[in-house]
Amino acid sequence: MKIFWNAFRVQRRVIFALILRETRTRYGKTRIGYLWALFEPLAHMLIFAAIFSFTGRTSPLGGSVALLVLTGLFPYNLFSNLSTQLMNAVEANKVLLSYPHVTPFDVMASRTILEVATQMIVFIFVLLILAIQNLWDMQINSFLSMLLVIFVGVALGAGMGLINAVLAFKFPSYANIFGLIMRPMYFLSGIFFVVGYMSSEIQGIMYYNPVAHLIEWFRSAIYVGYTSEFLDKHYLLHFTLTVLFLGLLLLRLSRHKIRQSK
Amino acid sequence: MIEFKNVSKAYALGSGKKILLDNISFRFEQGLNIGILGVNGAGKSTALKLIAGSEAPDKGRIIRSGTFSWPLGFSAGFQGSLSGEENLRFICRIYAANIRSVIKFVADFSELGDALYEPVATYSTGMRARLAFALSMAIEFDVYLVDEIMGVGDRLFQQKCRDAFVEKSKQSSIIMVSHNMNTIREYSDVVLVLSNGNVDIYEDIEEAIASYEK
Repeated sequence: MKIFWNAFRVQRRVIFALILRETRTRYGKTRIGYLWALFEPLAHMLIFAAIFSFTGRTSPLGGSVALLVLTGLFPYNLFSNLSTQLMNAVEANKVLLSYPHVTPFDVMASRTILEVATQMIVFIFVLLILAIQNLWDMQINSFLSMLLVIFVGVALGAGMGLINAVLAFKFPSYANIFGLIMRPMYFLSGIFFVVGYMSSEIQGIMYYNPVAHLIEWFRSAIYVGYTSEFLDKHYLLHFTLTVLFLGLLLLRLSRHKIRQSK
Repeated sequence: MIEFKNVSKAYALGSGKKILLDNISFRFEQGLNIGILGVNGAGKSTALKLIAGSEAPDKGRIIRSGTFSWPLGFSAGFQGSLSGEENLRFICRIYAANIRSVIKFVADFSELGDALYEPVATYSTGMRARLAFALSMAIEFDVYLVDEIMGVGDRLFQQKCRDAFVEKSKQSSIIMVSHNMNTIREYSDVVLVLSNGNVDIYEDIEEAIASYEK
């Protein structure tokens, strides 16, 4: 029992150290560096919200277009950033894996924590801006469902990221292929429109995209009175659990090989 | 204490496989300084990584008690884009060492001066090795794993390293890989000679060196 407790303490220490180091290498040395990291997705959301507002589009769900964009982009970014950040985690932390304490799992865990924290801060920040600008009526349909969807989104993104990490390690060109797959995903996930209001043919195609379900579920949790006909929670949960299990399994099986590589 | 139980380790090499350790078993108690000899590619550095736990054996078990350092070598795990000081902070955190006292010690010992706050990527090999050596001396371990790091820098620095090492070896033990027979003679109580997957253990250093040079 004591051994496990010790191992847990070491792991907690290592993950904390990795997070601190990562903020340094990725966001630079100044304290303002991390603010830049927040600024990028923030600008992403605000620019799209502004464009759609100015072109006079209205939200099919009622309320502002800005809220529509935010509730689409946040779950999407959560998935997309986690899956690519974890894919590149091994390469970025290769040197540190020479320390016996630092395991590939720690590297993945620290990136996940940092990424989720960053995305959450940005989401809350944009929500506040929308509230101040009267673009959000400060109502949430179900706070608990919202947290649950975020949790599912993290599991889905991290699971995919783990699979990506192992595949990119074994086949270096995989990273490019995944990038290619992700590009149309941006338009096929229902960020800028509501899948539930699309024709049944379009819904049929998008049905297989788990991120479309993630966004629909997220919107059902935020918008009062919106129940999505499209949303299939079972499909999303099954998909997520499979991906997460597969990702953890692949990482476990290849952890020694990942360590050994130079 | 370090114990190998039927440990095997091979590397994929092109289409074939290079066997570095073939069903090796041994056990050494705490307090014994061990030198590892072998020609290039015999698996000395890999053996050190196995002892440290930064690599896993293909087969068998490795049991260690006490705290072991990471393998200290020229290619020590420093992140090039970060400064020497930032690298120190990271390593202190993972080993739960006191950051302030380690940085102070390393600054004094390594004589890197302001370079300690410059990115490690700008360091020369000698500077890196000085940083690595100073850092390893700053953190307390029961066993220090040393990969060809002796003989760094000028004569004065070498003398300093030697003194620090002698001081350390009073409480801790050392497992080292070296090509330098004088270093092996000076620090080892036992010598392991690696060749073709086998490990021969010599308690007589001269005998080991003779067999290695044969």
